[in-house]
Amino acid sequence: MDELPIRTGDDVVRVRQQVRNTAAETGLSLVDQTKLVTAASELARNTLVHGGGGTARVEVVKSANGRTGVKLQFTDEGPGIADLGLALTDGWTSGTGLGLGLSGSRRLVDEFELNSQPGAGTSVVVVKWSR
Amino acid sequence: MIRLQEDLADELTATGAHGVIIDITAVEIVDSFIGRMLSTIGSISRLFDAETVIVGMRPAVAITLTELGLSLRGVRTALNAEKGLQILNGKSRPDG
Repeated sequence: MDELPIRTGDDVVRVRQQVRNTAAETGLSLVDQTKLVTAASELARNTLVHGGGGTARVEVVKSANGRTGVKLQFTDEGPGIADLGLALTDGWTSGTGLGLGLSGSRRLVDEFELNSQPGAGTSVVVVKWSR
Repeated sequence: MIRLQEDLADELTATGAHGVIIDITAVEIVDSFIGRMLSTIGSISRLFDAETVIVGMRPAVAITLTELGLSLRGVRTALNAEKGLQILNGKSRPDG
């Protein structure tokens, strides 16, 4: 498992590279690698822009039925999200983007878990399984 | 990226070009950040009466973009630079 800091735009690039390498080693198809890396890019940028920076954890996981996958966790100690439902709505934006970061990333992965409270930071865990 | 937009605007002013082709063959992912940038380039070009065509998108990138929900407003897309030029030259329709 690797834990990477997200403090700058360059860190977002490093997270993308790490996710790409891990996804390729885990045997994800090229399309699934691209989906996971794209989701990672959206989520890492959220951590940087909205969370004021944080960390990304990249991990290889195995399911109960023996499938291999890549699990990513993005954590920040930023202002948090007051309305999770709203934040996951397509096209809703806090002002700086297209409003597709969270809702779009959710569609690109197999598992998606968002935890956040105002003042208590935000954590997003996603998993992409190999087919 | 702001540098690219400035260079593009300068170049459009200097040449009076009516078309911009952006080749993204080497681009491994397009997230909403890059997508917005491409749309912005399209909008800037349009102000100079130039049309923007994105070419060379990888299949995996196209599939991911669709699922992400990104529509790349303000730009057209084509398979490769040759087909992009055909669009810019007004020969995009088979009967044209």
